[in-house]
Amino acid sequence: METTKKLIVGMFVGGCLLLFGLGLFLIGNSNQLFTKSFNVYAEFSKITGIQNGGKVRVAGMDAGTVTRIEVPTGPEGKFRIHFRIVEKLHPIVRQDSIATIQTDGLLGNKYLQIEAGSSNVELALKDSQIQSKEPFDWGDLMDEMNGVVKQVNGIMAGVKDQLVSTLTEIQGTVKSANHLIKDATPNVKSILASADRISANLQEIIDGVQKGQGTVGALFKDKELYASIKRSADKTERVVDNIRDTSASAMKIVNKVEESDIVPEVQRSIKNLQQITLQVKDAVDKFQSASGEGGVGENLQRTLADAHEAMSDLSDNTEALKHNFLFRGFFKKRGFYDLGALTTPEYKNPAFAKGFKKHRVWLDSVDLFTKDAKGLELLSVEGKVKLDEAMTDILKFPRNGPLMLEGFAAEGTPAQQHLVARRRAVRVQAYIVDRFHLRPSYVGVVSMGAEPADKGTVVGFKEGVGIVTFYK
Amino acid sequence: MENAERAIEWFGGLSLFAGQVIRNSFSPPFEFTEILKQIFEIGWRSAPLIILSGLAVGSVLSMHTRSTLERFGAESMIPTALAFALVKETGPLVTGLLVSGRVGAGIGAELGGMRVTEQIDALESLAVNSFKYLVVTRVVACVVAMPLLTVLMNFAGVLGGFFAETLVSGSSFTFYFNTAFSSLSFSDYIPPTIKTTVFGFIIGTTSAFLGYNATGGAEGVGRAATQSVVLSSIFLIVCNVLLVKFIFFLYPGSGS
Amino acid sequence: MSDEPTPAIRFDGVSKSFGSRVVLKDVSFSVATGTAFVLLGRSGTGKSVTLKLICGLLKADSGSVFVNGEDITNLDSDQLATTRKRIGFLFQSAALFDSISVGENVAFPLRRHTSKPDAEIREEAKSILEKLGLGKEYDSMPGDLSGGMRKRAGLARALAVEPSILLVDEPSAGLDPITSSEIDDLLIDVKTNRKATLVIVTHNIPSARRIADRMAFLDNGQLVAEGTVEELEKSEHQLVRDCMKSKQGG
Ligand SMILES: Nc1ncnc2c1ncn2[C@@H]1O[C@H](COP(=O)(O)OP(=O)(O)OP(=O)(O)O)[C@@H](O)[C@H]1O
Ligand SMILES: [Mg+2]
Repeated sequence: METTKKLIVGMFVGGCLLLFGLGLFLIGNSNQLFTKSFNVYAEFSKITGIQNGGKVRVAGMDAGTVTRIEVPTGPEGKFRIHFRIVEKLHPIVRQDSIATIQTDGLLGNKYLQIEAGSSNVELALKDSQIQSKEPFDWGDLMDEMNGVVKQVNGIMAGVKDQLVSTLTEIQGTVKSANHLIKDATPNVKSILASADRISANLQEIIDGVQKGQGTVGALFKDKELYASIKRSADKTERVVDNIRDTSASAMKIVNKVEESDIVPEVQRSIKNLQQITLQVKDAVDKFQSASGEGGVGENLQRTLADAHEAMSDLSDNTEALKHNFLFRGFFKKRGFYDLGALTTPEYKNPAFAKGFKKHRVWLDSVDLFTKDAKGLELLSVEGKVKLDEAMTDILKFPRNGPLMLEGFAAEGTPAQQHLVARRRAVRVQAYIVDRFHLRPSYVGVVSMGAEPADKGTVVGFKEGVGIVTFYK
Repeated sequence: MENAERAIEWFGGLSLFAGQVIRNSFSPPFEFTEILKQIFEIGWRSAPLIILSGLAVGSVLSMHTRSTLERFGAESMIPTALAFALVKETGPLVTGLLVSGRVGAGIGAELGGMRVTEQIDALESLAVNSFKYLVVTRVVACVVAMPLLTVLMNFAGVLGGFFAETLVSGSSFTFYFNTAFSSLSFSDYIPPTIKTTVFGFIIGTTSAFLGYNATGGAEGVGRAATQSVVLSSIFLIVCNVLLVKFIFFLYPGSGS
Repeated sequence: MSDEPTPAIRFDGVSKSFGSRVVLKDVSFSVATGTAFVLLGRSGTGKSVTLKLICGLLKADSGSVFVNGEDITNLDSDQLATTRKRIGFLFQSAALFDSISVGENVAFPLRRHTSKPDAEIREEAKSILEKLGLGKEYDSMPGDLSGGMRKRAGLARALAVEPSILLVDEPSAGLDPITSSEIDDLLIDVKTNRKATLVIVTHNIPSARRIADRMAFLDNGQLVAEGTVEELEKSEHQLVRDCMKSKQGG
């Protein structure tokens, strides 16, 4: 055998081994095997499939691997997961850092996420325990949702009772009653809007899963996630039905009052007994004081506000569910689903509006809002009229891009500015989505804080809401 | 019945032959020069086939994964999914089948030819242990070449995937390779590569057995060549099932 | 027998069959060292099998085959290899290794069994080929040679290790009379000058007469005649006598 052949064989074998080594190196590198690291551990009562060699991320950055999993000795014990973190990320791993088990998108790989700690807390010690939060479960989310919805039901029942008793009590004071009901109506309506949004969200998810069932089934070894979503949807459907029922009765009452067929009733009652006259007097007194402070009126308002809040939480939760990585592509194709997760810098980035023309309408907060007893801003009647006007302008443009509501606020700390600005935008969003039957996913909210978006166009604009439609 | 008996007898013969190969590969004399020559024939000469197929398999796999993952907006997973598919199963198996086609037929025909033209007798008459000289060297070369070719196939596959992907998304080379390998663990990478030594052993032993014991002239040589390909492919596929199970057993982590 | 020198080859009641086909039945003969033994017989009677038995390529079903006094049926593979190093074998089909050149075929046993430098081995192989009229064919591939040339190349390879026993299966088959007689000369030279023992299978009676010290005739699995040329000419077997009268080469 000639030397050249031997040389070729040597090069072939060497080259292939080198390639193999390169693979080892790439894998080792991504598992941070070649960087200085320190060991810590965390305990979980369930480890949802995390494995030896599983990834560890610190604040989202690949930072090491799980080195060992200790199995508990008894049912009440916990799994102890030992893992390595690269030294270079040590400064952000503090004693108050929290470890959670997360799922990495498509392949469903589990990894350990370590949140950055607070700067005033000491660094996490080597070989020490990192606090942990038990793994998040879709089922838990759904249970939570169910709980919230039950609560809402309770609240709605309360609202109904209160409405009924209030209404019976205020015989003869039809005008005041009407006023009260009118005040309550927007809240009830927005609750209904939230509920509709929840069910729409879930329906969209379910549709997506069902359409892609084959692929989903093939890609995910366990259909657990799919099953859990389906279960949640069933639950939610029941829940939403309940809400509908409840709100339907509420609406009935509202209608009744609005149609004023309560008037003959009241009149009939009045005819009855002297005693009742006394009662009416009493009730009117009560009601009048109530509409002032600490009475039925405020109770009702607060209950409805609470209900509204609960429902928003619920709709946020379902929104979050929809945000699940899995469905991103699916929804991306259908609209501007990502608007919900849009951050202010992302919005300000020129890339956001790339390919779109835009039209903006400004509304001053003075024109839009009145303040309630607690100083919270609510849309005023005049504000709604203004919004209707603005929207007739906006809706002239083709609706093939997102509709963005920019909140502005200039008072207080930057955090307060942000919150107030956001709340303003959210109020407007709730109103126009309901009023113009817009798809929620098409209407985005962004808090601009204290500065205008285009510095050149409107100077000194600091308080209010901008409605911007993007179109092609 | 008679067929079954003959099949069992044949299989027994093959097993004894395999045992003999193992025994002989650990006892001197070692035909190093011949082994190198066979690595040249089996490994180096298969490299172009493997690289080309790897490129093709990789790009096709990449296109398929793209169309699937796109639906979920998971395009960023393409290199990872491709590397998973290639390194864990497709690479070893496709390499195994290609080698059993090219090399299995080669060994079957070459040894069969040498048998029926009395070249094996001639070797023996020249005081050469023909089993060691012809059979052991080829089996060893297959065992050595298979994992090397698999590595080539894997990298060519990822490269092919990169080409297919870069046409669509303009992904960068280093980024693609880093992502491709980043989600793998050693237990995804090493055992499937090492297991191909078993493929090499199967291909080498089966085809050498058929060739070394060929009878019946030119027709017999042809038969040995075809049977080498068919049988070593079948054994390889069946054995792969057992090996995959075995690897899961050894590294439960590699199951996902 | 104990006074006599050990024969180079001795068959002692050897039988060999393939499946149901009996090829050799209780065959006994011996070949003295330094003599030429010619094996005659009709096609398919087991001449080639006999040669393979001597070399240990086939194993006798019963009986013993002695080579230089050792029963090769009882040797382990190492001992067999040692014995084989002293045996040269020209196969009926020449059996050249077709993956290497003619010259390398001849050099092959030298490379395996000697530690001579490459140049010397090539030189030696070349000179053997020249003796057989194949001086120019060192780098040809066996597949490119004619049948007769292949036969000579095979003989060259068998001669390369300077064997003390040379087994030759039909050396002159497919050769012209001139080359054929040149090969006879060479074989005689090997026998006389190197004191080698020759076992030759041939159908060429004139050439057999020239080379042979003793002859045997194989028929129906048995040696029906064995002895010197003269003895075979006077054999009681019609077949043997007819055969001996043949003037035909090949
Ligand atoms: N390996 C084998 N397997 C089965 N049968 C064999 C084998 N070798 C030889 N035979 C049979 O043994 C018999 C003798 O064969 P052999 O080659 O010795 O004949 P031969 O005398 O050399 O004939 P020829 O002069 O034609 O070469 C033949 O019938 C052949 O079929
Ligand atoms: Mg013959």
